[in-house]
Amino acid sequence: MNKSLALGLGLALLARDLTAQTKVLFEKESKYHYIRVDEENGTRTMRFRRKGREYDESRYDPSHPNVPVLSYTRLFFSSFLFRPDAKRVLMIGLGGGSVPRLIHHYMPDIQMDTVELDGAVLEAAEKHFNFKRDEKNTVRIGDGRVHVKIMLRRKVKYDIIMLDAFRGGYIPYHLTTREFFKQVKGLLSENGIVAANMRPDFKIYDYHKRTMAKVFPSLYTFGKTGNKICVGLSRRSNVHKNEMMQNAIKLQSRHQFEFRLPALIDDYQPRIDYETKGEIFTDDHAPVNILRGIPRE
Amino acid sequence: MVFTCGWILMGMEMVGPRLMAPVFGSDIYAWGSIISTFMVALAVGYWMGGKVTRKWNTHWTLTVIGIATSICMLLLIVDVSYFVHESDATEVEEERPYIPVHRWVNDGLFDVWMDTFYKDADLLETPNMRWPTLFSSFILFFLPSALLGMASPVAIRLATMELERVGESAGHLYAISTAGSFFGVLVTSFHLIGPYRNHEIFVGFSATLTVAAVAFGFVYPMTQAAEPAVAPEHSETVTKEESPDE
Repeated sequence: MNKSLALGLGLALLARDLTAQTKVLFEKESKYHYIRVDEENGTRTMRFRRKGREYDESRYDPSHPNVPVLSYTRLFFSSFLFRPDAKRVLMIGLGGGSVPRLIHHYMPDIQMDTVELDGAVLEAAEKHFNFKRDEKNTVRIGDGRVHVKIMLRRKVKYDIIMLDAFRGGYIPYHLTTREFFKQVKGLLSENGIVAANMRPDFKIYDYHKRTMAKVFPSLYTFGKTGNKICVGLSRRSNVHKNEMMQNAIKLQSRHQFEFRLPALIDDYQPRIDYETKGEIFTDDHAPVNILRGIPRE
Repeated sequence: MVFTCGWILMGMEMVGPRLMAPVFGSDIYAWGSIISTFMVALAVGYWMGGKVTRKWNTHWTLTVIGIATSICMLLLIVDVSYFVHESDATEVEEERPYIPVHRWVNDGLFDVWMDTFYKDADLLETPNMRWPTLFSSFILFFLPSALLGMASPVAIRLATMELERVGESAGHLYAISTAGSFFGVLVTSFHLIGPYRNHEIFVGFSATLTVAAVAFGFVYPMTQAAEPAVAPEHSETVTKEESPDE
């Protein structure tokens, strides 16, 4: 019985794999990851492999190039609900480059700068995710924290800073600490905001959010299931849902997004969804690798 | 004592990159810098240690080396936030941040490096951070690891009573020291980094080394008096039992 069940399951999986027709478009063992771009049913996915598991980092649908496929890509746009007038945006962690590409596409006046550790990721994004660099959409290769420090020295300011430095499901620990958030805050213009991509399924989420809250007194969370985007404001303030909605409608009519920006309001989670008391990540102590293995209850 | 020195040496090497990452990134060159620093320091330490045995052939030399190393390690984590301000601080805060010496050194080197070579460079260019990483790991770790390197020849000289047995005692002590290094790597990476803060690990290492050094200073003469011929081996086993309490 069990055998036939297993056989049936195996056949079903095989059939699914055959119909899915995965085509490997790009494959590279870089200094930091094993990177692959697969094409399934016309959709391209960038995957990093770590410890034998594949992690989807970015997805791109060539038939609808200007619509975000993964939910977190869309959720990153929630940062504009707080700063609809943003002129300069910094992103740490390129991936497939969907977020900077879409920002550049819909809001070409914005100076969009990205920092990416791995040159091979940029190569994959340019080859298969239709990512194009120009003077308004730049990429610098190097460690996120080192580049933040360099920009601080040059007194560069940004209105929005997006943090999305994942390396196969985990964040390098020196990009999670209070000291890092403080440096990021130093790069923000007056009333600048930070938006961080976080995975809510492990203990690291509580620590990460507590650390962020220590530096950014007002946090706003977006995302129902899966990854959450956590928006942090440098000053304590109360942004009401109505205000976000007005900004969303204004932006929607101004930039004609092919996805509905006001729908982001439905993803807003006003409830505090993390344990507010406890330790935070510091440069002296950030057990990221341990905490990302402990599931939250 | 030799066991503890081996332990501390590798333990420090494991924590090293954690101190560098916040300033210079966590690239492979951080590891390369730390390891090469330790290798050069050991080479110098062995050589110096050999010289020292000609002048001060007493067991207290080992104690002094142990205590000096502990002081060097503690110096790395002293809070200097009274005197220096966080280079990237944006506002006055309610609580003073903890700025250890190693952060201050790293930040300083970073600034000097950037001012010297990348003052007017294009922001898009990725700066080469390898050399400042190497320099700062030299400044931070050269002295303590060279001191630990000195312990080996001093201990060999102490343990050698007859010329025919010098190979035997050297082999013996190398084995003990490397066994210590093995535990230093394993325990530090498996059980210390994570549960404990970086500065707590350093304080623990310093305390262990100081206790071992002082204990060795007092226990060694006793074992010598009791059984002069095999005494050095005994003294090793005595200190060996003391170290794992950390």
